[in-house]
Amino acid sequence: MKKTLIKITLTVFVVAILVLVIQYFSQTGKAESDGTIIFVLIDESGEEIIRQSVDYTRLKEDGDPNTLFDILNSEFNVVCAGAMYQKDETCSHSFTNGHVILSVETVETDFFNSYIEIYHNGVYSNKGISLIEFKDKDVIELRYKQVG
Amino acid sequence: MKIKDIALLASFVAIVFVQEQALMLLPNIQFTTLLIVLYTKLLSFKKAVAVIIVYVFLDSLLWLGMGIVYVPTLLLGWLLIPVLLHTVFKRLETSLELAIFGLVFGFVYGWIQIPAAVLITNVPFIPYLVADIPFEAIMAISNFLTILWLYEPLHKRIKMIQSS
Repeated sequence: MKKTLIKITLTVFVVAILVLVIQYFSQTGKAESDGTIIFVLIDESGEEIIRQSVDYTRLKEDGDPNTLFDILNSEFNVVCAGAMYQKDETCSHSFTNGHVILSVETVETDFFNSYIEIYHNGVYSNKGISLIEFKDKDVIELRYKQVG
Repeated sequence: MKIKDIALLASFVAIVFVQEQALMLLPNIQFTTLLIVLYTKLLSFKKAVAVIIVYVFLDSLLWLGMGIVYVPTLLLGWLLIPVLLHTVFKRLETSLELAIFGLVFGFVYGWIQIPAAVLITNVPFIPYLVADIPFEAIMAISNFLTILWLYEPLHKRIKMIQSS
């Protein structure tokens, strides 16, 4: 009985820690105010094919905060990764750490052999497109990257 | 090795391989660590190593698209369990001790995979390390809970089957 009680206590404790860790690392990136984002898209040959300013509002129509993914998805033709990293044109699947983008306009990747790198104001982003915090006049560069 | 032993090892490989595929949709939630700890405790060092080699071989065949560079790190990661449990952590016997071992192993296994992942994806080391923390935590806690609750009943049951 005592042994089971210890196990239950430990289980509750570690599950609580896991929830906190996941919450901390999966906080969606929000904007402090309305503004403009500059999106840059670079293809496999290193050529800049899109450089476009996109106006955004801090909140979406439903009142939820706008994320970089939401802004990108509303302005460009985006294909996301589904649960098995297959192409998901609806972008309905979101991983623990947000959406994974496979394609933007004509730049297409498959996640396994190529993927899209994100640079935030010229710095390699430690976070995914759904988690990056951003502000007015930030530059988001999406670069095609070959694996290996 | 007797035919009975070969059949047992093959069953162990099949169980570890199938459960991993079945749980693939859940990030890093698996019974693999529990099963390998269990096999290590039930089998000799050589037999446990044989099960792991065959399992990694099958896994690599299925996921060859991920790159052959992962094979040595996968092997190194999983072989660490029998190596450690037959040497420095030989005295770990209770489910709580082994669960703590599994918890720490979840992070160590994640770190072992980082060099290959960085090499293949060209993602800088620090961003990869940071991004991997929640996944390592999921594996660590999944290991802890599965070993804590399932190690003893499974160990008893398999021992019973072996002795009969």
